[in-house]
Amino acid sequence: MSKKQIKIALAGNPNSGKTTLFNAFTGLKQKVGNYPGITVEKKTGKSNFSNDIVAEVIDLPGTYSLFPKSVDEEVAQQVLCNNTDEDYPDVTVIIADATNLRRSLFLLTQVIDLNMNVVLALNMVDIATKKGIVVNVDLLAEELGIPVVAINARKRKGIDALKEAIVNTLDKKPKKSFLDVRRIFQGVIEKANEIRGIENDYASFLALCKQKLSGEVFNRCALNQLCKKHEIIPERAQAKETVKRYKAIDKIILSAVKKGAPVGRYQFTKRVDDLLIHPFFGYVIFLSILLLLFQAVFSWSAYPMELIDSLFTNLSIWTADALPQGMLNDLVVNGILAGLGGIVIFVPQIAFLFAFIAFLEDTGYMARVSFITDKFLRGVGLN
Amino acid sequence: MQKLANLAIGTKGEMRSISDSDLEQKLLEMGCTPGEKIEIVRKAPFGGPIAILVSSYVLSIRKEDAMKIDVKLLKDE
Repeated sequence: MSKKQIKIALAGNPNSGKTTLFNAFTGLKQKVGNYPGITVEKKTGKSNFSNDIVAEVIDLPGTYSLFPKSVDEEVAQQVLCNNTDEDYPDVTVIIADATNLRRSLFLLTQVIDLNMNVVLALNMVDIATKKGIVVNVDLLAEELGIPVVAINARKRKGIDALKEAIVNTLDKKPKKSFLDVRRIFQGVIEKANEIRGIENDYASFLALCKQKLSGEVFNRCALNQLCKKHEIIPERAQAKETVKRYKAIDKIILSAVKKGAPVGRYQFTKRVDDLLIHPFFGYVIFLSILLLLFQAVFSWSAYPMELIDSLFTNLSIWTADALPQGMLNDLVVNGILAGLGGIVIFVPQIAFLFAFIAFLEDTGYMARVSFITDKFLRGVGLN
Repeated sequence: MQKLANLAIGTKGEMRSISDSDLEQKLLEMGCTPGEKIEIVRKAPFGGPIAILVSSYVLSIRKEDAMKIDVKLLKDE
């Protein structure tokens, strides 16, 4: 029995948990980091959705909008805006950080307007609750006109419900657009559709705003003329549309999100931050951590290194005696064993270094350090 | 009207205008729309970045970018 193949794209703001969800879906172990920009290229993996559906899941780099500012954001735009792209998804899952719903809804509503099948996966609801933010999931789904599923990607909760919601949206098209660009830019969008030969209002709007959707090179002149004729300045049009979109989003946020006082832990985080980026103690702590790291890499790792060294020395001596004299003996002792030993001896140092870096990344300390060192590092081009 | 870069920690205000098209678009799509309430939460030492609270998250903005942002001050209730 052959299974039905579907394509799912995961998109969302940087650091909202896309890769964590991707790993939960596929069982793969892609690197996840506690700061934006970890996923620079799209990654794909397979996931069994039901007995007869298997999904190809595409993890897209994080982006705030379909107006890319960097190469990795462009990757996300290219996949989502071109229905001729080989990775163009059947269903797009937007992952939203519940503590930052307003910002997440911007990308989400843009993707809805591209006329795609969209499911919203609401992540980090537990953290939102701690911050006193309560999201009414049902109301949100109703207002947006798409399925909304609360998940906890890290603890792998809600993944089955999300899969079910994705399967249920297959072959359904969203009923209406979220923001009608046709009404904002009257008489222009229809003509842009005509020039592009594709009936997709929002994609045509993006093309008008000089977004480089594939194949736009041929239409560029005609689109520029259209802009000129209707006195549209692409940058202004894009800003105008963004502001209007946020106005519509704010209406939804007002009704579906309730904010109370943060509880406990949030205050604690703030106090730790006060210390970590303190104008004096912040640097003292940073230098101490760097010193500790050097100490670990050069002093602490000396013990396992000595151990490995003596292990290989003994092994060489034993092998040299055990094997008959000749070319083979020479190859094994001075070639293979010596070469291997030369590499393995650095494993403790590298392990210490990576363990340290992983710890600093995961705790979010890196982000704090970059706040207080941005000024200096930029001076030498290292920001 | 004040420049964001000149405000002290704890100051509350409302976003007004941004005098750089690229920066404006970047901040707009991150939710810094005109009229949105902001609060200065941190300033890095030695003229480093400024952290502002905007729609429940903290955003760091470099000082030279903060010079391009106009903010209307809000009086404390």
